Amino acid sequence: MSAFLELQQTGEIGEQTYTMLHDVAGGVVRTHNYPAPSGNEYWTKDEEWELVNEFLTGDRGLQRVITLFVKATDEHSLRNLAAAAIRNHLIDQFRNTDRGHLYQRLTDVIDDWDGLETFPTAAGPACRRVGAATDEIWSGTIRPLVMAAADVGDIRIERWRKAARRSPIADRESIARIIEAVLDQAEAAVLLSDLAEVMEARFALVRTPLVIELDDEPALEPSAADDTDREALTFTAAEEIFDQLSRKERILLAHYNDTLRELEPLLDVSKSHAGNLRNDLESKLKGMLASANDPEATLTELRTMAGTWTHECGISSHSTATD
Amino acid sequence: MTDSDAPVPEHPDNGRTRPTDLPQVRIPRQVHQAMVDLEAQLAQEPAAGQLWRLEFDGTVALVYLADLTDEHIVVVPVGEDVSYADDATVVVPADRSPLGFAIGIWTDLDLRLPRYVLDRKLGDLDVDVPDLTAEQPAEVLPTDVRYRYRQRLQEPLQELVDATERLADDDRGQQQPLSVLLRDQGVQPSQLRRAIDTRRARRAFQDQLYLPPTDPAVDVLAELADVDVDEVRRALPRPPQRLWVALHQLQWRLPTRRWAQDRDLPEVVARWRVAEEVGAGQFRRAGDTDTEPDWEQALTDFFRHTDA
Repeated sequence: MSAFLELQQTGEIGEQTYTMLHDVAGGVVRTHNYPAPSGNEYWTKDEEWELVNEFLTGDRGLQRVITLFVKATDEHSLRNLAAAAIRNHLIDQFRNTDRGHLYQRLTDVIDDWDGLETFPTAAGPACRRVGAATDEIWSGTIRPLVMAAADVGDIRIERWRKAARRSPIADRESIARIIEAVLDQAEAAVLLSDLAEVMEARFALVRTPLVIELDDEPALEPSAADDTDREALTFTAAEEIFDQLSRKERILLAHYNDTLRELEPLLDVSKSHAGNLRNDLESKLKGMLASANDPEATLTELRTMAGTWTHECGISSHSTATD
Repeated sequence: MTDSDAPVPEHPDNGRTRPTDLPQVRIPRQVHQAMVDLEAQLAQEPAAGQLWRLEFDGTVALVYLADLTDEHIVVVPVGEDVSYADDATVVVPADRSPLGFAIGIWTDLDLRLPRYVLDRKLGDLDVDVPDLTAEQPAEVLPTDVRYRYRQRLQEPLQELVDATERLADDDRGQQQPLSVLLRDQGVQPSQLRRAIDTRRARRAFQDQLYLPPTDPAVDVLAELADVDVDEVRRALPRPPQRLWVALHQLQWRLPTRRWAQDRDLPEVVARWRVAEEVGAGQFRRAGDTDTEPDWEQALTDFFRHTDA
């Protein structure tokens, strides 16, 4: 008996329908290359069954089944409807993740920005400058693109809002300028998926920030656990800010006590420009640290991070941030 | 190509089989009954203010029935995702929806269709829907996410309009008939008899083989003729126009549904089979004349005979 007839006759999910949904779900995730929940290259059988169970019993699961039931006319149409519904379900899940949120944000910015456009390719939508002479797609590693993105300065950050439980991201204009810098570096169109990866690296967006819920009532005596919590909060706050700094800002932070003459070769800018950058960074940090639980400790943590980062990047220093 | 048609890469993991416990998901009784209970459907008299499923040639849409005459209906698309509601959408809350979940009626997307696309009544909608003739279109810009959803709601209705208009135009004469395709490709009747059956092979060469586009016999014909499946689909004869319209009338949908249930067939497949049997029977009786057979009588005879 087909799944269609099983549903018609029994009015419930039986062996045939369950197996059919698994077949279709497997086809959808492989054909459209949806990332596996485990982060592996492919979906395991367990993950596929989990997807089907979530599809059937999760939020609006019954609504999905009823819709399939009332719209299908035969097995073929039931499978097609199921494939579309599973895709929509995956897209909804994807949109609820940080990467999905970022991807959506990029699409919105590109759609609204006069100088940029998206166009379909076999590997998915890609972005290019409007009127670009080439349809060639960037196929190299994303590292040079990340470096180009990191070099874009004067990024206006949208303040992290705990209530939204989303990683912070820059404003529209800043994102568009970063995309343009990436396209210039690539000298080709760039897949939206690659662009999202570049942005993830630029803003470290994929990680969902650690949020520690503190008790409303203050503890009578500070405990070791409180200290650990405070330390974790400081580290998280510093990490969130650090992820939003450009390459030059990170160098500046690591070499905050250096003279402008010493900064000139490190930043590859003139002394006056280095001075302006330092002033900009100061006012930016003032704003970003205002909401931190312990601004001073957060700044110390930030400078440690910047020092470690410049060391790992092999950027020569005459003094270190922690000096 | 649809997702389920697309060639699917093989799964690299031969791990566990499916979980032993089936998830308990049951369609609400009233929805199931509206879809499959023939006795309940006998009492389905179309009237304004009802939720209906439309179907023609396999295309389906859920609609609010706003108005009807003997020949036509005025319908408004119904959507399952009320988060896309706009100024012109009437939202029916879950506790008043025949489907058991909240639905939206997109009142400014009304459309006129032939009455014979009415398929199944899904329930009554006890909601105040504004006068459609006075309804102002919702201001939804193309950049708005709701715009695409409105388009998606309109697509199946537009397909129904196109399909019924195509049927009215009856452009069968413009296609290369199946019999010509088979002969041009050197397909022998004996080959066809072996691949399908004798009666259907004869009908194929007489352009009286009415097959739904997804029927496995279409693939067999394509393989024998060594042509693309779509070429066969384009060459397939359509059932005579008036017979096809008659089979879509509520009056004949019910006996077709019963005929389908008795044979464990989907109704859309059964409709093609009935068309083939009734159509071929009439041509055999009347010979190859231009006289339009009395299809209503032919259908009455057919169902009386098969029910007996």
